[in-house]
Amino acid sequence: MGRYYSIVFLFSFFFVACKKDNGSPTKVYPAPTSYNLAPLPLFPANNLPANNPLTVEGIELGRALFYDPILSGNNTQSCASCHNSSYGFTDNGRQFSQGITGQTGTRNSMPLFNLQWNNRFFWDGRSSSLQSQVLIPIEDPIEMHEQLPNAIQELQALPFYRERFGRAFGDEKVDASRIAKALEQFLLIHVSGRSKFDLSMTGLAQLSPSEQRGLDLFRAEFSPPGSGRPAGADCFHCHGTVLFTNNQFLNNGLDSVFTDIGFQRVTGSASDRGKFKVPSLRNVELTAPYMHDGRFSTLEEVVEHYNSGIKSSPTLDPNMKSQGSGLGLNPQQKADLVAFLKTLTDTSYVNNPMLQNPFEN
Amino acid sequence: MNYTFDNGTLEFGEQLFNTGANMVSFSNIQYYISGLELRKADGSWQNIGGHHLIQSTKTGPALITFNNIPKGQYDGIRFLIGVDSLSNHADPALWPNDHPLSVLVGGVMHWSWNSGYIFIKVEGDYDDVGGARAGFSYHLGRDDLKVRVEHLGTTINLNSPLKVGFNFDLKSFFSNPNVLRIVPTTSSTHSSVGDTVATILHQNLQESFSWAGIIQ
Repeated sequence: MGRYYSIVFLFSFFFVACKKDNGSPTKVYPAPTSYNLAPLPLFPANNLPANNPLTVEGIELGRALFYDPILSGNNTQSCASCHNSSYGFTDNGRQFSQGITGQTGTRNSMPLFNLQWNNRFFWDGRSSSLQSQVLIPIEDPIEMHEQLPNAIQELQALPFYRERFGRAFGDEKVDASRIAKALEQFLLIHVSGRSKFDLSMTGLAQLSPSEQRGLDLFRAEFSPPGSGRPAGADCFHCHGTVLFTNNQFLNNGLDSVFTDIGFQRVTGSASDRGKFKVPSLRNVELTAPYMHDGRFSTLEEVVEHYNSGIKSSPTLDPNMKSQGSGLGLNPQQKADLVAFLKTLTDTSYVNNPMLQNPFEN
Repeated sequence: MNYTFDNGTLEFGEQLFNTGANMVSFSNIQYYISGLELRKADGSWQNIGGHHLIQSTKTGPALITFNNIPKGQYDGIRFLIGVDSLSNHADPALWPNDHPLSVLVGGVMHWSWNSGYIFIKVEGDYDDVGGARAGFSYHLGRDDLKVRVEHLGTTINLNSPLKVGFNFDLKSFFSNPNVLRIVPTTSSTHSSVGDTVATILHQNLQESFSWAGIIQ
């Protein structure tokens, strides 16, 4: 409990005097302070939810909830347990995350950034809004394994949280909707767009010759052997635009037979069998292992998959089907591609003080 | 917009169609329509503008609705399969997030930050040598590969938003006037300068659209 008292000082800067605290949910607080999320150069306009405007107080509440194990069934795991900032907000290099009962899942923890431009969440897209997504791991029996009424009761019992819900939402009532909104607000400020690559696009940095060659390969289309055209890695079809994802669900040739049917589980359509969300490649240097099941440990293994390991199936992406046995890149080209991918690392994002654990600072 | 194959119904998925050179099936067709113009009685063209992204894999209207058209009598209609040069090279991040050319909507059709949009994608499978299934992926872009679709001689008395219907025939896309035989070396194009596959399909594309009428 010491953390809750020590952090009162940290948050006191934002505190606005209100009626005398009697612990009642009817206590009224001033309106929260609007938070302006600055747009990034070359990025789409902000795409924020109309029903949950960002506020300083809402973000701070979400930050506390994100890092607080109080949301798990036995108060041992927080959201941050599987989303560590040092790993691009993924799970510490683990293939699968371990829940509070020791069970492991079957999907690799996903990074958390630029979520405002997503329209489906999880590897299989089963959640259509960030606000609905954030509650699911809390109640998932193989993750945080909590029941929301219990979490609500625990939060409501703490003056620390009553006050912060009051500042964020106008009164001290704690409910699932407010938990979701606060977490959503905190996650929406996880914006990553200041990598070396980004700086190079605006003339503030210069890619090395290897990185530049990798970028050229990244943007160049695949050319069939014998076509007489130069080689290309054809990455941009799925990982194009400034977001480095097309936000689609595609089959990238990992398997011919699927133990995990992915997007089909959501849509029920056989044409979606074995399809998974195309992840952004930003910060990919930090987010190993790779793919929905974390089967590849290194970026070199990932590149080799696309180079020579594509497995055919009826739902394989057409762009990959037309590549036949693979890209046919030579060792130098593969190394250049990896060098470019590492320019997408954004240390200003992973080290952003606003995203760190408030109970440790 | 209706899809046909040799004027018959086109189904996406496993169904096979004979192009005359290969058996093919279709998994994805997407393309832009832009630059709508209507011909006035004096022969001049009224620019309507706008961009529309047609996505085959989504269930949607067979007709495209164009709004904000001045009332009047017209006797011709034309538009582009593709994107005008100015829009093609503009920063896609500058469009509103719900615009067909925005990163969020048109990101799947954008090649990079500089080279512009894919005007049309046609993707699917074909029977490779020996009967094995392989994929084809045809992406046409580049300013000089736009196609103008034009229909003259139909009187259009316009009093409300215009709904335009054109058929896109995929057999023509593969065979009229140039028969494209799909083999591994011709199974994809991304419209590089000098790419003969792109040239063939661009010529065929001009013969692949037919007038299907309007509804007001």
